[in-house]
Amino acid sequence: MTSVFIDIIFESVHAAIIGSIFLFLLFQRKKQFLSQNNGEHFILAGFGLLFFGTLLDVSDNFSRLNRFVIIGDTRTETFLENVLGYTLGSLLLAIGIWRFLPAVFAITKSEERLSKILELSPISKAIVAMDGTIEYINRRAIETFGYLPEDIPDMDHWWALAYPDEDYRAKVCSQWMRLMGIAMAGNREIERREYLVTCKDGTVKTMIIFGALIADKVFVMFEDITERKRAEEALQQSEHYLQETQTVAGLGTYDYDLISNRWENSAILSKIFGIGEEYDHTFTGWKGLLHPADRQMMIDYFTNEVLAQCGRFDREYRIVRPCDGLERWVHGLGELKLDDQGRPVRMIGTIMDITERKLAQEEIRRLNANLEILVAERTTELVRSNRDLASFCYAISHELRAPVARLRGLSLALLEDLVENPEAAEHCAERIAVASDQLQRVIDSVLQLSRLSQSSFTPSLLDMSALVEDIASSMAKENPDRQIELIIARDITASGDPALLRLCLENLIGNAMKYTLRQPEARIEFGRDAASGALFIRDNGVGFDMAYAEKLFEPFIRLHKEEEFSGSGIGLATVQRIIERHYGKIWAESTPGEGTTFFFTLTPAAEKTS
Amino acid sequence: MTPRSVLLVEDNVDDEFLTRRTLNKAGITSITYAADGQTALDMLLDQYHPLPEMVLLDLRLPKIHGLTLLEGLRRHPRTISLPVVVLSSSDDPKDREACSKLGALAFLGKPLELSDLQRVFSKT
Repeated sequence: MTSVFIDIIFESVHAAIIGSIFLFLLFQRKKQFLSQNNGEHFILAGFGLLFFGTLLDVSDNFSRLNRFVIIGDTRTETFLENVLGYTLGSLLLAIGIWRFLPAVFAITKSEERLSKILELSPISKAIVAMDGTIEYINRRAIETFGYLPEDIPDMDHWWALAYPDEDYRAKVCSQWMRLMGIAMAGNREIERREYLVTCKDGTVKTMIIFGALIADKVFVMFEDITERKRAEEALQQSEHYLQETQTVAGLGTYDYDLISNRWENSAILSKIFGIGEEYDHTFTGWKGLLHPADRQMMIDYFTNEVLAQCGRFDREYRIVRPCDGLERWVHGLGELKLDDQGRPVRMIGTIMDITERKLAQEEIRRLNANLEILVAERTTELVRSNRDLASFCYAISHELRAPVARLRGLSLALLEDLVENPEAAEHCAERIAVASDQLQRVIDSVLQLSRLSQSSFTPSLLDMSALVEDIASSMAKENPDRQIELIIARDITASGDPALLRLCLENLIGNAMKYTLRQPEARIEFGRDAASGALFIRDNGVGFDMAYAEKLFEPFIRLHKEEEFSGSGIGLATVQRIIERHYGKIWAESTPGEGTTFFFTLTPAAEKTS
Repeated sequence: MTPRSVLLVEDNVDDEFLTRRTLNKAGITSITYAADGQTALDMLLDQYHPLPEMVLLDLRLPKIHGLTLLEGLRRHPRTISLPVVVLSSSDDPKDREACSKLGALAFLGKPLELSDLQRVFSKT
């Protein structure tokens, strides 16, 4: 009895084991890995038959089940158990295993290959389980980041180490989770994004991280773009610098393809030329930019000197900007590129806006030219003034010699007559007094004239009307016996040196007084001539013949007999010199017997009527 | 030979007075007088006016300068050979030269000295 029990237990355990294997395999069928193998059905069927055999084996312990024929302790049962169950089952199992084994080896091999590929991949890779455990990182990843597998057992450790900045980490985590969510919901690929990963040694690398979800694992891949990024940035930086410096220098660049007759240009050149994208970027377009005055010269230069002789383009020329029609100066530099046959195919160069420099040069040239004119003018003036001086010296020597000779003559006559003819002697003495007065006057006025050219010139705004009034009325007072009508226009002002203009007016008014001496109703007038704008002093005196008008202002030239109208002979020369110092002009109009008008102007800017 | 009549062209009264005095001393009493160049020219070219035997001419004269007057006289047939003595206080060699070129008899300084005048007369 005991042996039967042991038998039942033993056979039941046996059936349970086989059954479990069978059911396990049946359940596992759904899994891809197994269903792809051909031996699976045989193995399943084998285990099924073995399980069937073991169940029959258990049933043979119960004789009461014999009435069911195939179970219980019957011969049919024994046959089925041994032949169908064990023998056929074992056979099918053997066939199944036979067919399945190569697949198992293949899997092992492919896994080995995969791990090799992963290990040796030039791209950093990691495999992460869904719970965040980092199951694997390849050699490249270790080299790249410096973290060993034990440093980063899971994603939390990775995030903490790779993204030490909390804000950035939070951003990265949320982005990664979002991308994971998308991947799980969709095509199972985690999109490429750029991340700044901090390595173990503290360096920060720019990585593109992406991945895929494969069989409940996340395959993460890292592409190191730090160098590329740095190069890009450096390139960007240098391009930026280039552009900046070109902008600062006003330096534009161009690339002219002679074969297709098209030129490309930098943004700065567009600005220099004042053109837009739509502008005709051909030779014709360039010709259109040229200043009309330079156009033919520049076309000849480009064609005959640059293209024909394969020379260098180096020229300063003018353009007219289409955008605003402004004339600008540019300096063009260019190098021709030749093909194998030595024919020019391309020209690359720079164009610089040199307008400001050119304007400055022009200004300097203009100033130089002005300076030359000024020097020439001054030289002429100097020559004239030297000549004036020579003629003045001649005039003055005569003018001084004459009264001295006269005084000598009169003195000798006085001596002769002193005893014999006292009346004549008296006359001589009187004349000596007059002659020495004249001499005195000449000397005084010569001194005055010489002081005139040395005196300082300090212009101020003068009330000319008041000045004329003052001089004329004081002169009238000195001649109380004379009847003189003064007509003085009011409020005439002018800018000039007060002392010089007083001297000038004293001479002119003095002349007017002198030459109206015989006029019983003398009239002296001051005003501004409406036609010429010149100021004038007019008298109704003796006047002079206009034929002598030019000689009027020469020193010591008299139009009247000396006895009639006494004077130094240089009054008008003095007046003229004063007016010249004011950059003005003086001229006279006269009719003998009717009177004279002296017109004079002062500097146009200095002259003003309030 | 002392001229019988003289035209004195002089604008200054004192010079005129002094020259007349010397002329008188030399025995010349027929003295006509012009105060400026224009008057002198008019007188000399006036055919109804007898020509003087000699002209005493100042250089710095109103209206027409002495040298211009002399030049004019030398152009006119009536006065082309009229003896002219220039009286001037000028010491400019150019004046002296110009006068000599225009055929002035002499160039005498002022005041006119009797001896100078007589020397000139002796030459004629």
